[in-house]
Amino acid sequence: MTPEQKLAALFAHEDAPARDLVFMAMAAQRIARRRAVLSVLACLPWALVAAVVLWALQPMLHAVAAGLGGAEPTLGVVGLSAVVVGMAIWMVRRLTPG
Amino acid sequence: MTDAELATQARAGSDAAFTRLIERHQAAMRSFLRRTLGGGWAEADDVAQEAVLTAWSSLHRLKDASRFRSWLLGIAWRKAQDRIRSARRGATRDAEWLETLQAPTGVSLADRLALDQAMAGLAPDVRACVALCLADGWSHAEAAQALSLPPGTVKSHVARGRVRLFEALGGSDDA
Repeated sequence: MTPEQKLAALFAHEDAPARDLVFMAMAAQRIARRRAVLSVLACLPWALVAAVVLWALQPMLHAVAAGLGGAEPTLGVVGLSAVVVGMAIWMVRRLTPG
Repeated sequence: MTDAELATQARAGSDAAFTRLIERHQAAMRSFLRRTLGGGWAEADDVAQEAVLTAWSSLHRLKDASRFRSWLLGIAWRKAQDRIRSARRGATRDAEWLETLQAPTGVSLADRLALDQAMAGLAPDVRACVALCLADGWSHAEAAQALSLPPGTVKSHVARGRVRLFEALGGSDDA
């Protein structure tokens, strides 16, 4: 075997396979993790804005609550349910392919 | 579908197109990293996955979609340089890797060790040029683009590396 053939054989020995599902799965996992972190980070400014808006509306909300008498718990549950249902519909639409 | 078409779709947000591109070029990238980093193949694959992640998050910086392969290899090369400089490449890891060393059929383990030592003795730039041009058959121009080096430098690095590798394998570079 000539040195040139040896070199070619040694280099060929280090060739990665043309298809490698494990590698692709690991890479996809890292991308999914990064995407999840980025999604959470993207929500942070909106959460901050929502907190500031609620803080600013606090006097108005107190006045509304005072006018409702004892109905705040019921209205709170109804409102929360509406938000959950809305989020569920939005996520189903967003995550459904096509 | 060409790399340019897939890269354009990937930039527009298509995960399927990006996956197809990586499937197409992962072997070239991982082979390059195995040769450039030396040592265990697991480390090369780890760097390759980091490169894929960086490529995914910086697709908007890809200027020429038809040159996706050299752009991806360029990212892998910069990751490899970071890894070469880092303290993670310890003697313990190298010792563990030596125990698992195998040689291809028809080549002795001594030759394999000689080649690995010769590759390790090359400067990182030279090693990268050898890995791309000599082992993978890239043109000097494409390697120059991927490694951000002048084409003349790539050519001289390949020639110098070739001489060193042939010397290590007990031959002379008469090509």
